Amino acid sequence: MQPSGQATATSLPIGSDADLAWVRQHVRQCAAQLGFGLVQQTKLVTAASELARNTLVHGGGGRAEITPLDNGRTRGLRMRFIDSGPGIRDLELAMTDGYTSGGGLGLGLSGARRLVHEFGVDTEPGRGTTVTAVAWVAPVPSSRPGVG
Amino acid sequence: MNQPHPGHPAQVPVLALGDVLLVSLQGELHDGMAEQLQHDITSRIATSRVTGVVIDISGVDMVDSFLGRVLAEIASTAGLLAARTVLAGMRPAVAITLVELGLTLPGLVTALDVDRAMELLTQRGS
Amino acid sequence: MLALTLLLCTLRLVVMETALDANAELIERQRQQLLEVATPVIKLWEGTVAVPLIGTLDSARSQVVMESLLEAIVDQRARYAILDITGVPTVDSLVAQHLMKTVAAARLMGAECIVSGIRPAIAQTIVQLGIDLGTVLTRASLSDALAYALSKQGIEVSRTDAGASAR
Repeated sequence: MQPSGQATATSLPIGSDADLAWVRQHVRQCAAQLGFGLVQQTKLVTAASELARNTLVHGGGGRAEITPLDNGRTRGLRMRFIDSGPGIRDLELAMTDGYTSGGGLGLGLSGARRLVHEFGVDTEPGRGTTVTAVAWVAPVPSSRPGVG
Repeated sequence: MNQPHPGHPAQVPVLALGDVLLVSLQGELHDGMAEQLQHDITSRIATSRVTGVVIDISGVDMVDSFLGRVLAEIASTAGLLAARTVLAGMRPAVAITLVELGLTLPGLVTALDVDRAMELLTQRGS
Repeated sequence: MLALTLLLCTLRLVVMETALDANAELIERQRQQLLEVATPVIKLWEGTVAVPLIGTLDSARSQVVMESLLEAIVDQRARYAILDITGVPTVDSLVAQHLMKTVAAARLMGAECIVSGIRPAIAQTIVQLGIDLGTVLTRASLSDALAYALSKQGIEVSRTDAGASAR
């Protein structure tokens, strides 16, 4: 166990199927190293897969930024998915279960949000979208309201 | 964990055991591979006498909504061609994640492992 | 001289922080252990496992319950898993949601989940809250649930003559 140094972000391109696989594998590796349990690792990898696919399919490609975090009490992982595509016109609608604009099940954004602890979407029509998802190792079971 | 090289595309082998197709998914599955598999299974059912399909996912460490949709579509397509599909061996972590994701795959028949899946297919088949 | 003092102070601070961190980690680990101890999964019969839930079900605990039940399903090759909520004081929509998630996850793995021990008062709350447990198989008591699981597996339990006379 090393004391927390200033963690560096890893930037991965998202331009093809194979890139999605790289993103998944990198997130899996990071999460395991940070001490996430198997279930949390799986949730993180799945969320990364959903969001990276969104970047690829809806954003026309972009990149993922994976950053290990340490807030002094626990460790975490921040995943950022950045594209400069058309952006999301109706964010609220896009966050609704079952809504889809590309052939998926419409669970990409709303589903991924349920798999992490913090979730944010920054989008502007015509300028692109950045989705940020953060998860912490064994988060304090605060009064986080039931998700979903 | 020794996962196959993610940049290395391969086909998923489809085995025939009597009139049952057995597909064993392992490790990283590219979107393209999953779609190819869907195509392979459908044409195998159409060209030969197949009454059941067992998809073993015990070697899969993540199912996202894309793969979930492909699996569900394989099952419904097979159903239209009069073959029953059983999804076998889902790992606990994968099941928990799928449920949290909102994907409960209600139309799919599931089994604990390949043995149980075969049992299920032969039971109902006779 | 001043620099040396400053350095020593910093060192001491670092040592203290490390000790505090270690403590926090210990507490967290023990909390986790306590959660696991509080939710044992019992093998009731070949192919049938059960978790008797006692006390309040919060999110953290439901997570542990779900994980240990699913692990037990794999280990025991169980076809049936029973969630007994006799000891759960209240069922609100959140608890119901956790139950349904567990049932759905077990089904994905190929096991059928039965929720037992729904006391009349709880059944009433569930209905009043408008919670739809429609997809969940329920039984009034743990023994009813076990009887269901056994009969579905073709196992019949009958009283021998000796047992009957013992009444």
